[in-house]
Amino acid sequence: MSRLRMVAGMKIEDALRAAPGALEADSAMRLLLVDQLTPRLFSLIGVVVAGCLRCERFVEALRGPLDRTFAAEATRDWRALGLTAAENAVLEYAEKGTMDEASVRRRDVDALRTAGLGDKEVLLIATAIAYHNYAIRMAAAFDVLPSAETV
Amino acid sequence: MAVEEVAKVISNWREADLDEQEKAMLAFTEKFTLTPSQITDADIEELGRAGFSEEEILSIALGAGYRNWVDRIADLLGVEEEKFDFPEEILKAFGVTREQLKTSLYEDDR
Repeated sequence: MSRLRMVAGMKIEDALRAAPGALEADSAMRLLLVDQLTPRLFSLIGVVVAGCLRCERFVEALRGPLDRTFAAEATRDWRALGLTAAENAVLEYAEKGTMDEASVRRRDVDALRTAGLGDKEVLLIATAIAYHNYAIRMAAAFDVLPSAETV
Repeated sequence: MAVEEVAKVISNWREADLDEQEKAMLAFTEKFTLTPSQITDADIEELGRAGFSEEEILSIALGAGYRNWVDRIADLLGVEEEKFDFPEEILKAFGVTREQLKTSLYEDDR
């Protein structure tokens, strides 16, 4: 049971459905990001943001195509996973963008470019980080699960 | 809302001239932003006691969620804040000068 009596289910979609237009906007944004970034990268950002926000209980719902053990390790210590240079740069940006976003500077974006990412990818990654920061907070507020849909 | 009032809300909303319902909303917004994992049933109940309906509580969360989304994108991408003509009191509350805002975040690599 969610924290709102008007929300019957246990998923974020159940809460968003109660606000006109919210579910449609949320779904469109999420599916666009999944499509443009790949389900793996979108989910990887999600589980790392969940770890930063101490919302580990949502990792199972956020892991998408990621292996369960891998997702849990990424949440706990993604630096120990031996990811690609591009993934490491993305997660560094995601961590800073979640924990201390006001301190992000040009050099942080330059690190993404050095790892081979272009302007379009940077825009999508920043949007995905912000999306997960919004969605995980909503799920935590009402004690519902964030959306698991990544395809 | 007058500029002075906005500045006070930014620097310390607890001491600002707000009613109890507004303060309850901001207490929730602050926790939603800084420590979402610590939100409990009691926080939602507090909003209800302050007079908010469930629809309004959902709207408050969506509003806070939206600001967390859009402000974060601005920070991550280095939006040029000088395009916003902030009054002096607001700049002071944020602890920045107009001169600092004239330079984009990426040019001002402090």
